[in-house]
Amino acid sequence: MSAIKVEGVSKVFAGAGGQSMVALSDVSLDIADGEFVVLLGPSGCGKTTLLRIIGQLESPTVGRVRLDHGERQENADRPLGFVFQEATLMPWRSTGANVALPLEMAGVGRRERTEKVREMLSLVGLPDAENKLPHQLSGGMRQRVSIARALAHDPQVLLMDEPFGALDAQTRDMMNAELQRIWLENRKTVVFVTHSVSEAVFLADRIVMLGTKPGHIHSITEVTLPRPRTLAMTESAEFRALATELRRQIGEVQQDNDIRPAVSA
Amino acid sequence: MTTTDQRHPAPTTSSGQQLRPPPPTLSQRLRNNRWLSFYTSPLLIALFLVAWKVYVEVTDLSRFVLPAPEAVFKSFIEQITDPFVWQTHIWTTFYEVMMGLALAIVLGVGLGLMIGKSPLFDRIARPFIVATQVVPKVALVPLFILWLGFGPSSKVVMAALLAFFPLLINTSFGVRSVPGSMHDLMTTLKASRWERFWRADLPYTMPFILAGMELAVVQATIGAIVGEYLGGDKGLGRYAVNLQNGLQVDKLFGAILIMALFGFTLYSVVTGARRLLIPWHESVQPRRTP
Repeated sequence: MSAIKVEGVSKVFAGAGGQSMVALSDVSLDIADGEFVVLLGPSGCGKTTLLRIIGQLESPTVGRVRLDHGERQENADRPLGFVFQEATLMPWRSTGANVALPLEMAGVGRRERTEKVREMLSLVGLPDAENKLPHQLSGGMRQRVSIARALAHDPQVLLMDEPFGALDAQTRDMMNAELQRIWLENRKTVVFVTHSVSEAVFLADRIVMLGTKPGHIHSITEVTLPRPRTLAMTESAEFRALATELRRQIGEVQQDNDIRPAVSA
Repeated sequence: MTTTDQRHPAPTTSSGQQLRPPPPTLSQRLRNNRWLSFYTSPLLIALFLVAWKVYVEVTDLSRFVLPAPEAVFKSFIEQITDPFVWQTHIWTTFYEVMMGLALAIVLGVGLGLMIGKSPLFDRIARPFIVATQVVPKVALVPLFILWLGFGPSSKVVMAALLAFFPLLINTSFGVRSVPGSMHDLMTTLKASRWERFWRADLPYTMPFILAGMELAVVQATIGAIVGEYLGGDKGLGRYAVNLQNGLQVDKLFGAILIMALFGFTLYSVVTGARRLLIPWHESVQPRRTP
């Protein structure tokens, strides 16, 4: 059964000078319950827009998104978990209080909140950070807290918009391994946006490659590498072949992008 | 620290050379000293007083122009031990400043939030708000006195008029600075308008409001005192006028000193409130750079 159904979604933005910009054109996608889907593509392909539409932060100009089965508005009693590019922690709240935010807003009692916060913080590997303020944490730790917050109210779907884009390469590798571990523990449906090919191959069950001008689905690739995947596996022939193929496709899409204006001019 | 310290041996390079950070320069040591102003302020004040005294003695100025520092000090002690000065003047000005500030907070923060939240309201209201500020406000005092009388009310209005603008500007700026991702977060959590305001906008704007308060408390004090000066029966501004008319120049200096301490105290209360209200903010945290 599909957890998320994207049906014929197009998105048009009003651009500068009265022009309209087509960000997405007729995108349809089924995401299964418990699946880890990565949206991959060059900048400007509309992958973040698609994620924001799935997360109800934007509404599609045409088409619709169904979560679970049923209209999303009716079936929306439990909010989604969203992890942004920046950790977006509230600097006036302690780490624990930040994680507790979705629980507070859902009206969960204090005792249960404290318990859940501790559980979430140990899940993301920060059991001792409860009383620290966000500015006392490193960038990687802050993003872990934001993942803990996104999971605190036990959402069915976790949406992640380039969550590790601002981290250095080593921290990023480590965070990817951590995210896989967390996902294997609770098997949420995850939609993850990135422009890093190796990140996509490492994490995904399925990679949806988006092309530009306008944003559309270019290809869908199943990743059958066994789990749990290790950083050592990124050196394997299978991993590399997949990554090479995806890089070739990105090249294709970008070339497309470079040629189009010349043709239309 | 000596190099024989066993618990903290200096790190060494591979060739065995000891590595230690360079000793801080004099200016670094002074900068890092928290108590610096506790030494420098009294020292500078003492220097100023000596220069003042020397000037008065050397030039043999009339005490109606510039009294000697000790004469001013004596008057000042008399004034602040005089219950009449407290009850009539200091209390009146304090009352006016507080009421003016309260009014300014309601107006400034309220309108600031609305302007910050609604670009439409901003475009409609801003010309009128700017108009209240570009009019020379001192010129409005006679009008306020005409309408509200010589009592405190006209000064309260004057204080509020001066104090609300910095609050409004800072508040609207703060509300607009709430990052888009914070709004997105609240949207994904299905926050109501009210929750969004209490949990995100208001705490985020608090440092900006308090920065506005620092300006507002100074402006409110000026507003109240200028109002009294131009037409009042009580308060520190009126007191200064009385002393000037009576040629009590040493007491006039004392009154100015009281006003300075008055402003200083209010300002300190506001900066102290930062520590209580926004202990998490960078401006309150101890500086981490050397």
